[in-house]
Amino acid sequence: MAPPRSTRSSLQSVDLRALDYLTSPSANLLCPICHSPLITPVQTQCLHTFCSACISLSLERSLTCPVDRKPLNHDDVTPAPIMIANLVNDLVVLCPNREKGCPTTCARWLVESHVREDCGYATVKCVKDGCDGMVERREAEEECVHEEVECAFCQGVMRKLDLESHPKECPKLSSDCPYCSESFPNPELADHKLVCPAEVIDCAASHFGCTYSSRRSELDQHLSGCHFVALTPILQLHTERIETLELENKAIRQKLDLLLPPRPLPSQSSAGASSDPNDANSAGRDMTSEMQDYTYHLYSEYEQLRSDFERLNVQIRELDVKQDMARINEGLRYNDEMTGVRAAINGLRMQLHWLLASRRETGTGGAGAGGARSVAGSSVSGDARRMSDSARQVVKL
Amino acid sequence: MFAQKRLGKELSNIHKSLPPGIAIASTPDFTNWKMDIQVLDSNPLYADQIYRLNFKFSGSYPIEAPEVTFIKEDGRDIPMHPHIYSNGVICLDLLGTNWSPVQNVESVCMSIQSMLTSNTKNERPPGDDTFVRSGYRSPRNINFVYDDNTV
Repeated sequence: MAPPRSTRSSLQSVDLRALDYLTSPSANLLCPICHSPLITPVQTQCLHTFCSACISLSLERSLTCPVDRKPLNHDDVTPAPIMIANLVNDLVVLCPNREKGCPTTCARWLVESHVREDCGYATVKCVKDGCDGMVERREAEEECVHEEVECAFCQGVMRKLDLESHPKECPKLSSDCPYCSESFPNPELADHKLVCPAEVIDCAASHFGCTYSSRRSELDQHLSGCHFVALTPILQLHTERIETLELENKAIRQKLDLLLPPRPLPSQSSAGASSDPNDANSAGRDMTSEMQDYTYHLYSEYEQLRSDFERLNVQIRELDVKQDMARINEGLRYNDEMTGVRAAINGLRMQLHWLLASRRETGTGGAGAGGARSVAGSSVSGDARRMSDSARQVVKL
Repeated sequence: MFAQKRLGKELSNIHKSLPPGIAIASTPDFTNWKMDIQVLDSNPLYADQIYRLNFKFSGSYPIEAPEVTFIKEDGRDIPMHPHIYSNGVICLDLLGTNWSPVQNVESVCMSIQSMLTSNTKNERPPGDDTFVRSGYRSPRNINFVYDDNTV
């Protein structure tokens, strides 16, 4: 005989993986991947058994069997023998609504229907047509708790569900102060709680170490004599200063981290030395060794630059020598050419002489007068000399 | 969810029993565990030394391998081994390409323990200096070449 409410099925879904088991099941029924009892067990070609969901996740990452690493494809995975499935489905689980109060335990294959149909703690839709509210099944009576009702005292409108807790908030009603047990109207209660003389509170300097606590009405006596309270201003000042210094320190550390490359761990030799209990000392050593590293770095850079410079110097010198040689060779060539030209000009002069001499001879043969001859001879020879002079000048040019 | 459930089961298991030489250092939450391991035989390289392993789990554990490194903490040092860099990064195929979801924290600890036990070389991997200087802290994003099967 099903009760009428079971006709309203719960939409709450059951995650089988999240279930808790009544007794810890045999290790043979656990999936090697999730270590939980198998859910929809499947079997591989190499006869290993996994949850269907687990093995497909694993195959997405690597196409091997997780147990023996043999190659495995999605197609090589088949449902496990029904006997295995039955064994795990028969395991007794606790109701997923256990935390809400459901004491039910049942076989795993029944748990879904239990939550859907029976569990009093599963959430179901409200009984009233057209109401979208959800309610726990055991509370889903014939009337809708989401209907709006009016408070008899303050005339405020609220859901029936909230009416139960309303008297504590209703402005027209009074509640008792939890400390002095006197009754106050709700709107004034909050203010009263702040000053209630009966409340037990800690000394004002409790965060600096004072352990005294008493009723508010009696605390004043203590405060006037409390050493912690007297010291509060200076302690406060120190706390603030420590905070600012810590902030500053943090900022400086960040800057330092930016400036320095990731710090290498101390090498074997310094590891032995850093067993020194004095921490500050070893930190200092770290710093100096780091500085040394930098100096070495700079030195090596400098050495490299120097060798580069020397290499360039040698190259320049070589180039100089080469250029000199080229220039000398060129000069020699010009010299040769010059002597060739000079020889050619000499040859031309000789020819000219010869031509002039032969012309003079033909001239004297026709005249016959000695004076005239000598005159002519002298004038011709003067001409010749002038000509040869001019020829010499040409050569000079 | 999946990872937490599985780690919760592992935690209750290792609280019950652990192989000799392996101990829990701290397990504050389901993303970071610290384990202490020591080599039990008389290997002079590691005699009387306890080393601390740091496990970092992602949300997809155990499908994805955890990040496992040695850390310097509480006076624990990084063991000398030709596959362990001096910043604690471990070059082990089991934690990379050869990870299998069947592995668990206990089996990883045992693998690393036996990796130490069988080692006889008192040296760091080649290129340790440059590797450490390059600032790699996490073993992810490193393509190790698992070329050496002798150790």
